[in-house]
Amino acid sequence: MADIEAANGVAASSIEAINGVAKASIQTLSGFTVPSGGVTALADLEHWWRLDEGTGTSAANSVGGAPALTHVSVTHDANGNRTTSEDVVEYDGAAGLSIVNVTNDSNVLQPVGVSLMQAEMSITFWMRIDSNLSSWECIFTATDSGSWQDGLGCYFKTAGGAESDHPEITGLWFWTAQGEVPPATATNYLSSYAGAALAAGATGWHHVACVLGATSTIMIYIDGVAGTQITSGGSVLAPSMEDADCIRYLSVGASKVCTDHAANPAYYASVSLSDFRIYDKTLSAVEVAAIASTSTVDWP
Amino acid sequence: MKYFVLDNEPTSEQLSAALGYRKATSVEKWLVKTTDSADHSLFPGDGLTQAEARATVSGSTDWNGPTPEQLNE
Repeated sequence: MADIEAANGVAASSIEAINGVAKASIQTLSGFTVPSGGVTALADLEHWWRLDEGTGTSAANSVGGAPALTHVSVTHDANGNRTTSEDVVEYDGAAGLSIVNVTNDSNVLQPVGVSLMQAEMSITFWMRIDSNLSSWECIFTATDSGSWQDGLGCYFKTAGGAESDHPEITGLWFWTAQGEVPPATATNYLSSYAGAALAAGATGWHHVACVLGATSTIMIYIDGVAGTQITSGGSVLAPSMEDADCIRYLSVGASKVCTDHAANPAYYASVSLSDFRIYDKTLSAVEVAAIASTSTVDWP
Repeated sequence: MKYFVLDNEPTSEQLSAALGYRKATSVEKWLVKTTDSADHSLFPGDGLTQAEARATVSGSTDWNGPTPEQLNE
Protein backbone atom coordinates (compact mmCIF):
# COMPACT_ATOMS: atom_id res chain seq x y z
CA MET A 1 0.00 0.00 0.00
CA ALA A 2 1.32 3.40 -0.92
CA ASP A 3 1.86 6.06 1.70
CA ILE A 4 -1.05 8.41 2.25
CA GLU A 5 -0.16 11.69 0.57
CA ALA A 6 -3.39 13.55 1.20
CA ALA A 7 -6.76 13.18 2.86
CA ASN A 8 -9.85 15.09 1.77
CA GLY A 9 -7.59 17.22 -0.39
CA VAL A 10 -5.32 18.18 2.47
CA ALA A 11 -1.68 17.25 1.99
CA ALA A 12 -0.40 14.85 4.64
CA SER A 13 2.21 17.36 5.73
CA SER A 14 -0.51 19.89 6.48
CA ILE A 15 -2.80 17.64 8.50
CA GLU A 16 -2.81 18.78 12.10
CA ALA A 17 -5.56 16.61 13.53
CA ILE A 18 -8.04 13.90 12.63
CA ASN A 19 -11.51 14.07 14.13
CA GLY A 20 -10.23 16.54 16.67
CA VAL A 21 -7.29 14.40 17.78
CA ALA A 22 -3.93 16.07 17.30
CA LYS A 23 -1.76 14.16 14.88
CA ALA A 24 1.02 13.67 17.43
CA SER A 25 -1.47 12.06 19.82
CA ILE A 26 -2.99 9.61 17.39
CA GLN A 27 -2.20 6.09 18.51
CA THR A 28 -4.53 3.94 16.44
CA LEU A 29 -5.88 4.13 12.89
CA SER A 30 -8.34 1.41 11.97
CA GLY A 31 -6.50 -1.19 13.96
CA PHE A 32 -3.00 -0.05 12.99
CA THR A 33 -1.07 0.94 16.06
CA VAL A 34 0.92 4.09 15.58
CA PRO A 35 4.09 4.34 17.62
CA SER A 36 4.41 6.83 20.40
CA GLY A 37 5.57 10.11 18.96
CA GLY A 38 3.05 10.21 16.16
CA VAL A 39 2.89 9.48 12.47
CA THR A 40 4.95 12.36 11.17
CA ALA A 41 7.79 11.81 13.59
CA LEU A 42 8.00 8.15 12.74
CA ALA A 43 8.01 8.64 8.99
CA ASP A 44 11.04 10.91 9.22
CA LEU A 45 13.03 8.80 11.65
CA GLU A 46 16.35 8.10 9.95
CA HIS A 47 18.39 6.63 12.79
CA TRP A 48 17.33 5.06 16.03
CA TRP A 49 19.80 3.62 18.47
CA ARG A 50 17.79 2.38 21.44
CA LEU A 51 20.95 1.71 23.47
CA ASP A 52 19.10 -1.01 25.33
CA GLU A 53 21.17 -4.08 24.40
CA GLY A 54 22.40 -4.45 27.96
CA THR A 55 25.69 -5.95 26.85
CA GLY A 56 28.34 -5.86 24.16
CA THR A 57 30.05 -3.20 22.09
CA SER A 58 27.42 -2.51 19.45
CA ALA A 59 24.12 -0.65 19.53
CA ALA A 60 21.79 -1.80 16.79
CA ASN A 61 20.01 0.74 14.62
CA SER A 62 16.28 0.12 14.61
CA VAL A 63 15.93 1.73 11.19
CA GLY A 64 16.49 -0.89 8.55
CA GLY A 65 19.84 -0.71 6.79
CA ALA A 66 21.14 2.10 8.95
CA PRO A 67 24.46 1.70 10.75
CA ALA A 68 25.02 0.49 14.30
CA LEU A 69 26.87 2.50 16.92
CA THR A 70 30.12 1.06 18.21
CA HIS A 71 30.70 1.41 21.92
CA VAL A 72 34.14 2.14 23.32
CA SER A 73 34.67 1.63 27.06
CA VAL A 74 31.03 2.04 28.00
CA THR A 75 29.11 0.12 30.61
CA HIS A 76 25.54 -1.05 30.51
CA ASP A 77 23.07 -0.38 33.27
CA ALA A 78 20.33 -2.97 33.56
CA ASN A 79 18.68 -0.86 36.21
CA GLY A 80 18.60 2.33 34.25
CA ASN A 81 14.96 2.73 35.15
CA ARG A 82 14.07 5.14 32.41
CA THR A 83 11.33 2.64 31.95
CA THR A 84 10.67 -0.41 33.99
CA SER A 85 12.45 -2.85 31.73
CA GLU A 86 15.06 -1.03 29.73
CA ASP A 87 18.83 -1.23 29.79
CA VAL A 88 20.70 1.98 29.15
CA VAL A 89 24.28 2.88 28.29
CA GLU A 90 26.47 4.64 30.82
CA TYR A 91 29.19 7.00 29.68
CA ASP A 92 31.70 7.50 32.47
CA GLY A 93 33.06 10.97 31.74
CA ALA A 94 36.57 9.56 31.42
CA ALA A 95 36.91 6.99 28.63
CA GLY A 96 33.49 5.92 27.33
CA LEU A 97 31.86 6.92 24.06
CA SER A 98 30.01 5.49 21.07
CA ILE A 99 30.79 6.26 17.45
CA VAL A 100 29.52 5.66 13.98
CA ASN A 101 31.43 6.44 10.81
CA VAL A 102 29.24 8.85 8.89
CA THR A 103 31.68 9.80 6.18
CA ASN A 104 29.57 8.26 3.47
CA ASP A 105 26.19 8.17 5.13
CA SER A 106 23.75 9.39 2.53
CA ASN A 107 20.78 9.52 4.85
CA VAL A 108 21.30 12.27 7.38
CA LEU A 109 24.93 13.19 6.83
CA GLN A 110 25.63 13.92 3.23
CA PRO A 111 28.58 12.67 1.17
CA VAL A 112 31.94 14.35 1.29
CA GLY A 113 32.39 17.22 -1.12
CA VAL A 114 28.94 18.70 -0.86
CA SER A 115 26.99 20.09 2.02
CA LEU A 116 27.65 17.49 4.67
CA MET A 117 24.56 17.96 6.69
CA GLN A 118 21.02 18.82 5.98
CA ALA A 119 19.50 22.13 6.82
CA GLU A 120 16.63 20.37 8.55
CA MET A 121 17.18 17.63 11.07
CA SER A 122 16.50 16.79 14.69
CA ILE A 123 18.42 14.73 17.22
CA THR A 124 16.60 13.51 20.30
CA PHE A 125 17.58 11.35 23.25
CA TRP A 126 16.95 10.61 26.90
CA MET A 127 19.71 11.63 29.28
CA ARG A 128 20.53 11.17 32.93
CA ILE A 129 23.37 13.14 34.48
CA ASP A 130 25.43 10.69 36.50
CA SER A 131 27.90 13.14 38.01
CA ASN A 132 28.03 16.91 38.05
CA LEU A 133 29.09 17.82 34.54
CA SER A 134 32.05 20.02 33.73
CA SER A 135 32.22 22.59 30.95
CA TRP A 136 32.55 21.23 27.42
CA GLU A 137 31.49 17.70 28.25
CA CYS A 138 29.81 16.56 25.04
CA ILE A 139 26.63 14.58 24.65
CA PHE A 140 27.29 14.27 20.93
CA THR A 141 29.18 15.94 18.11
CA ALA A 142 29.61 15.59 14.37
CA THR A 143 32.39 17.89 13.29
CA ASP A 144 35.72 18.13 11.49
CA SER A 145 36.97 20.77 13.88
CA GLY A 146 38.63 20.42 17.27
CA SER A 147 37.26 23.85 18.10
CA TRP A 148 33.82 22.93 16.80
CA GLN A 149 33.75 25.49 14.03
CA ASP A 150 31.86 23.27 11.67
CA GLY A 151 29.21 20.61 11.96
CA LEU A 152 27.01 20.43 15.01
CA GLY A 153 26.85 19.06 18.52
CA CYS A 154 25.58 19.33 22.05
CA TYR A 155 27.65 20.10 25.10
CA PHE A 156 27.31 21.15 28.71
CA LYS A 157 28.80 24.39 29.95
CA THR A 158 28.84 25.96 33.36
CA ALA A 159 28.53 29.68 33.83
CA GLY A 160 31.62 31.71 33.15
CA GLY A 161 34.10 31.97 30.36
CA ALA A 162 34.85 34.59 27.78
CA GLU A 163 33.02 33.33 24.72
CA SER A 164 31.30 36.47 23.53
CA ASP A 165 28.33 34.88 21.83
CA HIS A 166 27.41 32.76 24.80
CA PRO A 167 25.58 34.25 27.79
CA GLU A 168 26.89 33.31 31.19
CA ILE A 169 24.59 30.44 31.92
CA THR A 170 24.92 26.90 33.14
CA GLY A 171 23.16 24.53 30.86
CA LEU A 172 23.05 22.32 27.84
CA TRP A 173 23.88 23.85 24.50
CA PHE A 174 23.04 22.76 20.97
CA TRP A 175 25.27 24.39 18.39
CA THR A 176 25.82 24.43 14.67
CA ALA A 177 28.66 26.17 12.90
CA GLN A 178 29.12 27.35 9.37
CA GLY A 179 32.76 26.78 8.60
CA GLU A 180 36.26 27.14 9.86
CA VAL A 181 36.53 30.91 10.00
CA PRO A 182 38.18 31.62 13.32
CA PRO A 183 37.22 33.09 15.58
CA ALA A 184 33.79 31.54 15.80
CA THR A 185 31.77 34.69 15.72
CA ALA A 186 28.09 35.19 16.09
CA THR A 187 27.77 35.05 12.32
CA ASN A 188 29.14 31.56 11.91
CA TYR A 189 28.37 29.86 15.19
CA LEU A 190 24.84 29.49 16.43
CA SER A 191 23.57 28.09 19.66
CA SER A 192 20.49 27.35 21.63
CA TYR A 193 20.67 26.72 25.34
CA ALA A 194 18.50 25.47 28.16
CA GLY A 195 19.71 24.90 31.63
CA ALA A 196 17.31 25.00 34.51
CA ALA A 197 16.41 21.33 34.43
CA LEU A 198 20.02 20.25 34.23
CA ALA A 199 21.62 22.30 36.98
CA ALA A 200 24.27 20.75 39.17
CA GLY A 201 22.85 17.92 41.16
CA ALA A 202 20.02 17.30 38.70
CA THR A 203 18.72 13.77 38.94
CA GLY A 204 16.37 11.61 36.96
CA TRP A 205 15.86 11.28 33.26
CA HIS A 206 15.40 14.21 30.93
CA HIS A 207 14.39 14.23 27.31
CA VAL A 208 16.53 16.40 25.06
CA ALA A 209 15.72 17.44 21.49
CA CYS A 210 18.17 19.36 19.31
CA VAL A 211 16.28 20.78 16.34
CA LEU A 212 17.81 22.38 13.28
CA GLY A 213 15.55 24.28 10.94
CA ALA A 214 16.02 25.67 7.47
CA THR A 215 14.96 29.21 8.23
CA SER A 216 16.92 30.72 11.06
CA THR A 217 15.84 28.21 13.62
CA ILE A 218 17.99 26.23 15.97
CA MET A 219 16.50 25.09 19.21
CA ILE A 220 17.17 22.80 22.12
CA TYR A 221 14.27 21.40 24.09
CA ILE A 222 14.56 19.82 27.52
CA ASP A 223 11.58 17.75 28.61
CA GLY A 224 9.62 19.26 25.74
CA VAL A 225 10.26 22.84 26.80
CA ALA A 226 12.05 25.06 24.32
CA GLY A 227 15.26 26.78 25.35
CA THR A 228 16.60 30.12 24.26
CA GLN A 229 17.90 30.71 20.76
CA ILE A 230 20.93 32.82 20.06
CA THR A 231 19.48 35.07 17.41
CA SER A 232 22.47 37.17 16.48
CA GLY A 233 23.87 34.57 14.18
CA GLY A 234 21.73 35.22 11.15
CA SER A 235 20.32 32.46 9.05
CA VAL A 236 21.03 28.81 9.68
CA LEU A 237 22.67 27.14 6.73
CA ALA A 238 23.51 23.51 6.32
CA PRO A 239 26.48 23.09 8.64
CA SER A 240 29.60 22.50 6.64
CA MET A 241 32.36 20.06 7.41
CA GLU A 242 35.09 21.04 5.07
CA ASP A 243 37.91 18.56 5.28
CA ALA A 244 37.23 16.13 2.48
CA ASP A 245 40.12 13.83 3.34
CA CYS A 246 39.26 12.73 6.84
CA ILE A 247 37.06 10.03 8.24
CA ARG A 248 34.37 11.64 10.30
CA TYR A 249 32.11 10.42 13.02
CA LEU A 250 28.97 11.02 14.87
CA SER A 251 30.19 10.53 18.42
CA VAL A 252 27.97 10.08 21.45
CA GLY A 253 29.14 10.54 25.02
CA ALA A 254 32.20 12.53 23.97
CA SER A 255 33.52 14.53 21.02
CA LYS A 256 35.44 12.52 18.46
CA VAL A 257 36.23 14.84 15.61
CA CYS A 258 37.58 13.70 12.28
CA THR A 259 40.75 11.71 12.22
CA ASP A 260 43.26 14.46 11.46
CA HIS A 261 42.88 16.29 14.78
CA ALA A 262 45.03 15.50 17.79
CA ALA A 263 42.60 16.18 20.64
CA ASN A 264 40.55 13.24 19.71
CA PRO A 265 38.34 12.11 21.27
CA ALA A 266 37.87 14.56 24.11
CA TYR A 267 35.32 16.09 26.46
CA TYR A 268 33.85 12.86 27.74
CA ALA A 269 30.50 13.28 29.50
CA SER A 270 29.31 11.50 32.63
CA VAL A 271 25.80 10.67 31.55
CA SER A 272 23.57 7.74 30.80
CA LEU A 273 21.73 7.77 27.51
CA SER A 274 18.80 5.95 26.02
CA ASP A 275 16.78 6.03 22.82
CA PHE A 276 19.05 8.19 20.63
CA ARG A 277 17.22 9.23 17.45
CA ILE A 278 17.90 11.32 14.35
CA TYR A 279 14.97 12.66 12.38
CA ASP A 280 15.21 13.84 8.82
CA LYS A 281 13.11 16.93 9.52
CA THR A 282 12.65 19.90 11.77
CA LEU A 283 10.47 18.61 14.57
CA SER A 284 7.80 21.00 15.70
CA ALA A 285 7.36 21.93 19.34
CA VAL A 286 4.24 19.76 19.39
CA GLU A 287 6.13 16.79 18.01
CA VAL A 288 8.98 17.24 20.46
CA ALA A 289 6.53 17.39 23.33
CA ALA A 290 4.80 14.25 22.09
CA ILE A 291 8.06 12.34 21.92
CA ALA A 292 9.18 13.61 25.31
CA SER A 293 5.91 12.62 26.91
CA THR A 294 6.21 8.98 25.99
CA SER A 295 8.06 6.57 28.20
CA THR A 296 8.13 3.56 25.94
CA VAL A 297 8.49 2.92 22.25
CA ASP A 298 7.27 -0.06 20.30
CA TRP A 299 8.43 0.31 16.74
CA PRO A 300 9.59 -1.35 14.63
CA MET B 1 35.01 0.54 37.82
CA LYS B 2 38.69 1.13 38.44
CA TYR B 3 40.95 3.34 36.36
CA PHE B 4 44.70 3.39 35.95
CA VAL B 5 46.92 6.06 34.45
CA LEU B 6 49.87 4.53 32.61
CA ASP B 7 53.05 6.16 31.32
CA ASN B 8 53.36 3.58 28.55
CA GLU B 9 50.95 2.17 26.03
CA PRO B 10 48.94 -0.66 27.59
CA THR B 11 50.28 -4.14 26.92
CA SER B 12 48.11 -6.80 25.35
CA GLU B 13 47.88 -8.47 28.74
CA GLN B 14 46.65 -5.26 30.33
CA LEU B 15 44.19 -4.68 27.51
CA SER B 16 42.80 -8.16 27.97
CA ALA B 17 41.80 -7.10 31.48
CA ALA B 18 40.46 -3.70 30.41
CA LEU B 19 37.16 -2.40 29.15
CA GLY B 20 39.07 0.10 27.06
CA TYR B 21 41.45 3.01 27.24
CA ARG B 22 42.11 6.50 25.98
CA LYS B 23 45.36 8.32 25.31
CA ALA B 24 46.15 11.82 26.48
CA THR B 25 46.51 14.49 23.84
CA SER B 26 49.71 16.28 24.70
CA VAL B 27 51.54 13.92 27.03
CA GLU B 28 52.45 10.25 26.90
CA LYS B 29 49.79 8.91 29.23
CA TRP B 30 47.02 6.38 28.89
CA LEU B 31 43.88 6.02 30.98
CA VAL B 32 42.77 2.40 31.24
CA LYS B 33 39.28 1.49 32.41
CA THR B 34 38.70 -1.86 34.13
CA THR B 35 35.86 -3.59 35.89
CA ASP B 36 35.92 -4.09 39.64
CA SER B 37 36.54 -7.80 39.12
CA ALA B 38 39.44 -7.41 36.69
CA ASP B 39 42.98 -8.46 37.61
CA HIS B 40 44.24 -5.15 38.95
CA SER B 41 47.64 -6.61 39.75
CA LEU B 42 48.48 -6.08 36.07
CA PHE B 43 48.46 -2.34 36.64
CA PRO B 44 50.61 -0.05 38.77
CA GLY B 45 49.32 1.53 41.93
CA ASP B 46 45.93 1.36 43.53
CA GLY B 47 44.05 2.87 40.62
CA LEU B 48 41.46 5.62 40.55
CA THR B 49 37.74 5.71 41.12
CA GLN B 50 35.53 7.05 38.35
CA ALA B 51 35.27 10.39 40.13
CA GLU B 52 39.05 10.57 40.46
CA ALA B 53 39.51 9.62 36.83
CA ARG B 54 37.05 12.30 35.75
CA ALA B 55 38.84 14.86 37.87
CA THR B 56 42.12 13.84 36.26
CA VAL B 57 40.98 14.30 32.67
CA SER B 58 38.20 16.87 32.94
CA GLY B 59 39.23 20.29 31.82
CA SER B 60 42.83 19.24 31.29
CA THR B 61 44.59 20.34 28.13
CA ASP B 62 46.77 17.25 28.54
CA TRP B 63 43.77 15.05 27.94
CA ASN B 64 41.36 17.25 25.97
CA GLY B 65 43.50 19.84 24.22
CA PRO B 66 42.53 23.52 24.37
CA THR B 67 38.85 24.17 24.89
CA PRO B 68 36.90 25.39 21.88
CA GLU B 69 36.62 28.67 23.73
CA GLN B 70 40.40 28.95 23.99
CA LEU B 71 40.85 28.02 20.34
CA ASN B 72 38.30 30.57 19.26
CA GLU B 73 39.91 33.45 21.10
